[in-house]
Parts: sequence; structure tokens; C-alpha cells
Amino acid sequence: MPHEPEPMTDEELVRTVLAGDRERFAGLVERYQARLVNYLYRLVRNTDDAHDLAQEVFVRVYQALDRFDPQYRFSTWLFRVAQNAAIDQIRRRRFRTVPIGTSEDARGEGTRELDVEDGGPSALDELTGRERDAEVRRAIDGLPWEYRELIVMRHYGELAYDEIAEAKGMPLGTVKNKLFRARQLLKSALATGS
Amino acid sequence: MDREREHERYQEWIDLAADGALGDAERRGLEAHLAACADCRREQERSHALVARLGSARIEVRPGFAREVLEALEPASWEARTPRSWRLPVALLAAVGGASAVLFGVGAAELDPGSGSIGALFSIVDLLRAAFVAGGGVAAASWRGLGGAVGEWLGDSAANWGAAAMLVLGANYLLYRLVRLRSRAARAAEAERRP
Repeated sequence: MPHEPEPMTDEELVRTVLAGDRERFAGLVERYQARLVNYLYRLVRNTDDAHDLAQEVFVRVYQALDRFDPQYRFSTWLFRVAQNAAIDQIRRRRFRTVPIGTSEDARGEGTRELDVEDGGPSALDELTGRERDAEVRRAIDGLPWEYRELIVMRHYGELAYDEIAEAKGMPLGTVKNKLFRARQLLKSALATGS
Repeated sequence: MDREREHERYQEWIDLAADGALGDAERRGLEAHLAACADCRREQERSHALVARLGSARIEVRPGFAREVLEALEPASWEARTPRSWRLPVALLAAVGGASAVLFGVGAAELDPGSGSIGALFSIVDLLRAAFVAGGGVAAASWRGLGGAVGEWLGDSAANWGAAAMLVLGANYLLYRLVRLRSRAARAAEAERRP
């Protein structure tokens, strides 16, 4: 039976890139792109902004790759950079006027327009699913920033509890407790919403 | 009061278990409790439903995103320090050094056909000594004096003058690389402060 080679760890990929193999950075991008885009999307609430910001984060990380300290995990470093980028973006956006009716939120979750002309069951399912997603988004948006950040890191960035603790510089017990409180709030918000 | 606190602890365990983060020992304790507590079983259902809903509301990454990122990457400051980036300057310097040695050999042979490579070696030593003396300001108090001193050491040989020119060019190239490295390091330090 052929033996599958072990995939390279993040740290091995970083070393290879630093040794001059720039294309290997694509391995890191592919490994984290879905988690990073979803994490940023939940913070900035816009699909295009989330992609642009994710690209900016990867570029920043590449530029500073030689300063990556292998005693920490690449994932926690990446998400710390992403968190700072998202906060900067949100601050910048506070001073920007968004015309009502053109924001992606107004069209529902920043996705394409829903075609419901045929009124078939699949369209109805899609509409229901979209409404449920919108409820989740509203519930997350309603959380205090600290809780929202942790929920998004855990459920969209898919970071483990110890990775969150490392990224946020918090004791593990505090992370667990805050996530518990945050999910209790979400349960209440979703129960009220439905 | 104790019973309330105990119940809250089970609720935390339910929450962690639904998120796949509860240890084995606590899980066994929780299962025993759930078998006897209808309230906690309902809480468990709510926790599972919440985690499932959070997991379902995700967006797709646009196709070709990784390629876009690679295309957006500008050369990083650290790339100048990788072994590969040093290959070209080192090769150039070796070529300049080799060419200088050959020219000095030819120059020495012109002055004293019998001397060969030993003559070339003496020429290099003489040139270095002249540069040292000139740099110290002892040999010449004016450009004319300096020019005269260097001219005397190099003689009429075109090869010697060519070798000296190549040495000057090589030294300038090294200086240019050093200045460039320092400015890149300064830019990198600035970038580090930004994230």
C-alpha cells in the first residue's frame, strides 16, 4: 500500500518560504483562506471587504514572515494580524457614509440576489436558510465586542480554545468561561428572535 | 445554593461538550448527570442546535483567491537576505576579482616579463600601500600629488589601470549593496510596528 507523505506543518512551510521558495506560501494561503475569510466576514459584514482584508492580512504576514517566532503557532499569529486589520477597517468605516439600500446587509448577508420567481420548494428552502443565517448574524452582531470576537474566532476562524488563549493573551479558563457566557447570550437572542 | 452552582457547572460542561471541547473525565460525569436531569437534557439540545447553526452560516471563498494573494505579494525585505539573493552579487564580485588578478598579471609581465604571478602579487601589494598612504593624506597634499603618486605606482600599463578601475567599481558595488540592505532593514522595522 503506497505511503502518503505527511503534509508539511505550518512552521515547515514558513521555513521553506524563507529559504526562497515563494510559491510555497500558497500552501499557507490555501490552508487558512476559508477560515480567515469567514472570520473577517463576521467582523466586517461584507463579502468583498472580507476578501480584500484577508488578502491584505496575507500580504502583511508575508512581509513580516522572517519575524515569525516558531515558539508560537502560525495560526495565532495570523489571526492576531487579522484581528488588528479588522479593527482598523471598522474604525475607518465609522467615518464613511454608506447609502441606504446599497449595502450588502440590506440585500441579505452580502450574497447574490435570490431568484424566487418560480416559487419552487428549493427557492423556499433557500429563503428560509437565508433568514436563519440572517438571524444568526444579527444575534452575533448584538453581542458585546469581546464576546463577539471570541465566538467568531472559535466558530468561523475555527481556532482551538488554546489557540484563542494564545492569540488573545488570556488564560484558557477565561476563554472557556467567556465563550460559555457568549453562547448563553446567543441562545437567548435566537430564542427571542424565533 | 450549592445545587444551583453545581447545575451551572453542568451547563458549562454541556456547552463545552457540544463544541467538542470537554475532557473524558468530565464527559462521563456529565453523562451520568444527564441521565437523571431533564432540564439539562433540554439544555444539551439547545447547545447542539446553536453550534450547528453557527457552523452552517458560512460563505465560500471566491475562486482563484490564493493566486490573487500570490500576485499581490511584493518582494519582502527579508528576501534580500536569502542565500539565493546573494548568488548574483557574489558571482559578480568573484568575476571582478578574477579579472583584476589576470590584468595585474599581464601588467606585471609587461613591466618585467620574467616576474609572472609573483610580479602581479607585488603590484597588488604596492597598489594597496599606495591607497593606504594616499588615504592617510601623507603621500599627497593635493589631487595632483595624489594623481602623480598613483600614476607612478600604476606605471604606463593599460592593464594595471584597468585592474584599478575594476577594483574601484567592485568597492562601489559593495558599498551600494550595504546601503540598500540598511534601508530595507529600516523599512522592515517600520512595517513590523504597523500590525
